[in-house]
Amino acid sequence: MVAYLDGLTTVRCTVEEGLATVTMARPEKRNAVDVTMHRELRRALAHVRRAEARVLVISGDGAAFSAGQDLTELGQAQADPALRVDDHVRRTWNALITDIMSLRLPVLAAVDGPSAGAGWSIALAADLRIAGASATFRQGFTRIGLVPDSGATWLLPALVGPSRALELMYLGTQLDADTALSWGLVNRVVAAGTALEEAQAMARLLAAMPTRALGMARQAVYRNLREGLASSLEHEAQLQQVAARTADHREGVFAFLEGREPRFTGA
Amino acid sequence: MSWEQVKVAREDAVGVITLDRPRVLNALSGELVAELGRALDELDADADVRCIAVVGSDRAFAAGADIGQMVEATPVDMLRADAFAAIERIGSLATPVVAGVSGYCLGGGCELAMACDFIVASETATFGQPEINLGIIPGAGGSQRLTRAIGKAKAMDLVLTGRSLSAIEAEAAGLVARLAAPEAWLEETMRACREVASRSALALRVARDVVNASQEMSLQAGLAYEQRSFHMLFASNDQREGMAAFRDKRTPEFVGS
Repeated sequence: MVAYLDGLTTVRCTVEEGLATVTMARPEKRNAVDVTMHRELRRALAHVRRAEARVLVISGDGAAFSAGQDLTELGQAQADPALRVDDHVRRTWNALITDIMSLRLPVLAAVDGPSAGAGWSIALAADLRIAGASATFRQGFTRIGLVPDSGATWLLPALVGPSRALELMYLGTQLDADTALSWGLVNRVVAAGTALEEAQAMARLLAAMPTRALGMARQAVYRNLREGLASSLEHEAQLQQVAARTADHREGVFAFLEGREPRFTGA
Repeated sequence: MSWEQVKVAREDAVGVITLDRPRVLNALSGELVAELGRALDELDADADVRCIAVVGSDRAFAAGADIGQMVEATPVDMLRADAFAAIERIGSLATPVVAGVSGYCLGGGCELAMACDFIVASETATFGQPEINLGIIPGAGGSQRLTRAIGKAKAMDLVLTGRSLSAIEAEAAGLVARLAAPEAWLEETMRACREVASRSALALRVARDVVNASQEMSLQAGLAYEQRSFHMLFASNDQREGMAAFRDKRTPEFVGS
């Protein structure tokens, strides 16, 4: 069963047998994100939730993953001093990153071309990144006198530590896929042009797993990054009480005891 | 009489009232609050119910009052309706009441939660008194209970700007007693209620009374009140039983008197 979300002009969204794919679709602008695409991405994510998808893959159409904030909009902000950048960031980027990170299912990003600035943050907000060999990563913010936003100051140091993150932010260095892999910024590098199909193959495996346990693990990992051990242990105990009552846990245990493959429904 | 805007359930010694208006994020209508009052009275009267939980859904505890019911109201209408009377009666029930909060806990919802004995909140819950956005002020204890709970600085920010506190902020500021993992808030609320319900019903009643009284009295008067209440419990079976069980290293069996 495939569920399409209609009426979108800059984003495509499908959910097929639990696998949701959200594709940024402004290839002529290298998938730069303007206000319309922000709105449509949020609608797509709401659809993914409603459709009870079990895994999400985010990708970009055409040659780029995403160039980040649409600079034409920034130009307009320059012309009108009444336009508040902080409110724009809150309403668009903050809301989008929060949305992606609060999903209770595994999220993969398929990056098959350049990802820059806030476009990279979309990939960073995913749990796993599959990069094509020609993918590149750049923190473009400081090159135009801006501060990294869209969660970059939190997401990037969490992966590579403060010094490498600041080096990238200060210099705006463009990282290639292999360097990104060795720095822990992507999970796998695959042949150029195959990132989406590789990500979807992995996603299909994840879609057959106990979704509730995966969703809780995801939330717990991001939460406990900033908590101490005692709080994390307590949090895990609370989540385990919930997980132990899921149908998938029962199925997992019985399948093991009966010597057969489990069939998880995500419940 | 049936329940239409709340659900009422029993789990052993814990009574659970679930606010049930999902399409409007449990907006507190006059009818919902009246049903809540009736449910509280029924559970309070049942001697086998030793703790009451008031909860909402994952998305919302209650996102406010039912604005549609109030748009054209006059002062006399509001006086006569006394729509939030049930909230004010919570403190005088004999049974402890614990609020289990997930999602939006705003306006009348926040006031309801604060009128309970303590709050267990999902880490994703948000608290606020946004009545100022509608050209009014909190009308069910918000300005009083919130300020006492979190202090003037934050309370004034919330009441003047209508902004929300995250659950993490609310716990740090003293509004929320316990935080819970987002998927586990109801389980943690019930766990807290079971802990309460396993204690002496008489001691619980006196404990709630003295803690609530401390909000109204000078320290000296409060200490004297606590002392007399403390002394009084030495006429109770549960005091004998509780202390003997401790001395004899066994689990006490309380009878509530």
